[in-house]
Amino acid sequence: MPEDAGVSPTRLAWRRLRRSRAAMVSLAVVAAVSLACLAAPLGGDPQRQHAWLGARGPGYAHPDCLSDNVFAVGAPAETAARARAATDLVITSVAAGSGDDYRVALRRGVIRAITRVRGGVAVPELDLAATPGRELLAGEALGGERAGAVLRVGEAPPAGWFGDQPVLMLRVNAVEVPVTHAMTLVDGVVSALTRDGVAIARASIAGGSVRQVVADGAALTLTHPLGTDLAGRDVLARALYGGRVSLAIGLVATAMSLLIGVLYGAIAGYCGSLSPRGGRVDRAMMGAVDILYAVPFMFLVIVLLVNFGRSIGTLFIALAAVQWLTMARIVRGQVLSLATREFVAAAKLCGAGHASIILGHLIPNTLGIVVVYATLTVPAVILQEGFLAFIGLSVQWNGEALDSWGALVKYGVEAIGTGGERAWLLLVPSILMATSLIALNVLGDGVRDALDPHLKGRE
Amino acid sequence: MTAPLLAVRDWRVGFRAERGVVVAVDGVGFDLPAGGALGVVGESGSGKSALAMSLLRLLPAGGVLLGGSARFAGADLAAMPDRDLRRIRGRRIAVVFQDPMTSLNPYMRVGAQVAEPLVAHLGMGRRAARLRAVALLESVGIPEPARSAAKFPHELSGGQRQRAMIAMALGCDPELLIADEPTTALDVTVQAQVLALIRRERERRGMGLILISHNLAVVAGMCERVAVMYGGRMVEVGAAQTIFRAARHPYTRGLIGALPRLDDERGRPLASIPGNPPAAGGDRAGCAFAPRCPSAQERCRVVAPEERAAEGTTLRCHVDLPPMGEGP
Repeated sequence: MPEDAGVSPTRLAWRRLRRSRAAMVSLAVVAAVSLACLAAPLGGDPQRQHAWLGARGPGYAHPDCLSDNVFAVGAPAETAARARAATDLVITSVAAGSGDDYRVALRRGVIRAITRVRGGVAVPELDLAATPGRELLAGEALGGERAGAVLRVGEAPPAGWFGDQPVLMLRVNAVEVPVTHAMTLVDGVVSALTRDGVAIARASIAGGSVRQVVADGAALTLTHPLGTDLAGRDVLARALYGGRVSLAIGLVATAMSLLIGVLYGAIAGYCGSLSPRGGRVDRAMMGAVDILYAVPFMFLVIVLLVNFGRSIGTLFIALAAVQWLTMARIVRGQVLSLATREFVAAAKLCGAGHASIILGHLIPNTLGIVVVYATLTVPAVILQEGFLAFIGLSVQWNGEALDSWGALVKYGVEAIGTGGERAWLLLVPSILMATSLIALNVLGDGVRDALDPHLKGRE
Repeated sequence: MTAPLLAVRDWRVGFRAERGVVVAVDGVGFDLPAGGALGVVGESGSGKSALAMSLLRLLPAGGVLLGGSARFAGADLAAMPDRDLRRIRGRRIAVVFQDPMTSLNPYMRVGAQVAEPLVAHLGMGRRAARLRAVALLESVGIPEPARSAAKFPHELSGGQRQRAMIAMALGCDPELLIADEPTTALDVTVQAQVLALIRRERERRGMGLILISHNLAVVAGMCERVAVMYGGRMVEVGAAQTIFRAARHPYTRGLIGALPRLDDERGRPLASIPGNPPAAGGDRAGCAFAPRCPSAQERCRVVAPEERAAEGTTLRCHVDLPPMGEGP
């Protein structure tokens, strides 16, 4: 027996839990994941798309700007919040021009003429090496690319360029010409705007052409530690937001099943312990549970989701409607055995009514097993929601899809690519989900061992 | 003569079984004067605990009151509505249970449990009830009562828990204390202390006592009157001294003979009553003890004996045994 007075059984269980390394590691993992998910809004907007980015691997960094940035003098800048907060903003982008086609004619192994198709202008030479960013595409007859050469009238072309044809059509992509927009912002409103030093009134810069954003002298760069998905959304932010959805569903559905199951089970068990008439109430209540048990659960949930809309509320109700059954059974059995203990008779002697016996004496004594079962229910519910999301029944909130871990895994499976080249899209949510579920399960086992040391090592 | 504190008549209790009802208490009647003490002795299954629990309608699931009346200070415990009974339970009639391991709520501090009836029955404020609970714990001999009140039941020893139960039972100054084998789960030295405590408190408060035990010696030392139960019936009731010295019923004599004595010859086999107590719900024809009775006669197996008065005791037996010590 411990020296200090007043150590409750709950406190003793907590002490035993702290001695279990596996349980404490799991607790730390669960706490870390939960905190990270809670802090997710600090990490970025999971819905913010950089369509021009596409899928990028972990660690990818890009200048922080939106896909469309419109700036007009006197109007608020349509750009990232961090850029809007600056007073001096410089955006370097590249002008995307159209390419030029050239016709190269050959006579007796020597280039006779080079003509730019547009305008029919003859040029003496075509330097493909001196203009970085240029891309030389050969005619369709030959296929492939030709780069790094200089074609001059009167000279022979590099070997193998022409084959046995007298004329070669070449397409040369436009040079990327850097364009610099500089502007002064006052409280997010553009007050002055220049393009390459020339004052203009309005500019529209496509996000994909942006190469650098400098705000107040510092380059704005957005890194994606876990990469981006096909729409250019940050994978980490989406995984953390998915965790919020998954954990919230797990916790709320468990809480609802606790509330219903514990009360229902305790009332049934207490009635069963009272009198033959109470026994009938007990049998009726547990009979109803048995009937509900017989309903195929996934079928029920799917029907509810399909008929009443895939709102998160429907999902909570659907999952809790199933989870409370087991809880009710467990609590009822526990209460039946507790009710034969003499402290219940002692409580009746204290003048306690039915409600105060159930709430004050019986339910507190079932809390041990209830806590254990609840800890194991949270991962079970998360897994079930993941399954539903994976088969396409992801939940919505005000008409917007809430991407839980399950939905992200589904997305990852669809986006991974034939060669697994976008594996991180599947791995990130899968690993996060698996780690959390394992940790929750190990924690649940640890709590069970702590509350009932005799059970340790038994299944 | 004043009206008795508790007058039980033709009390019958049964338990629902797979087929029908098994009778556990079969027509028990007794009077307990205010401040009097009745000891109820019997083997396991004799119905003594069912009798005690049924008086306050605290029977476990399946237990049913089949008939009879128990007038406590004029009101019938069997017939009164639950609401009235709840005002008597724990306040005017208190109970001490057999097993101190299960009779305290493991998730409540001891002090809070002792204080609970004070709040519920006497309407005391929480703080006053807590202080009174500490005083009660002290009066039943729990060391460091203030510290112990803050403890949970698992931190107390078995004897201390039983003392706490007694403190809880005495809190409302009951007129009657029903102690259902209060010392069975305790070791011998603690048993003696707890019994002494019950006796002291009883004398101090002048409260009535029904003491249930399988130990004839314990009961005889604590109570003026002793009832011996067998097969759900009180087979012999009388003054403790009379029962001990001049028992008339062969079963009572068997119990007395089975008490080990210090002056017994070493190596002599312990005396026992051959056979086993009757299975509940079995054949009820004749005297329940007849199959084991050394003095059984033909009619004992056919006709159940009626209650009759005989030299200081009331007994249910057809046979007139010679005075003790000249025995058969």
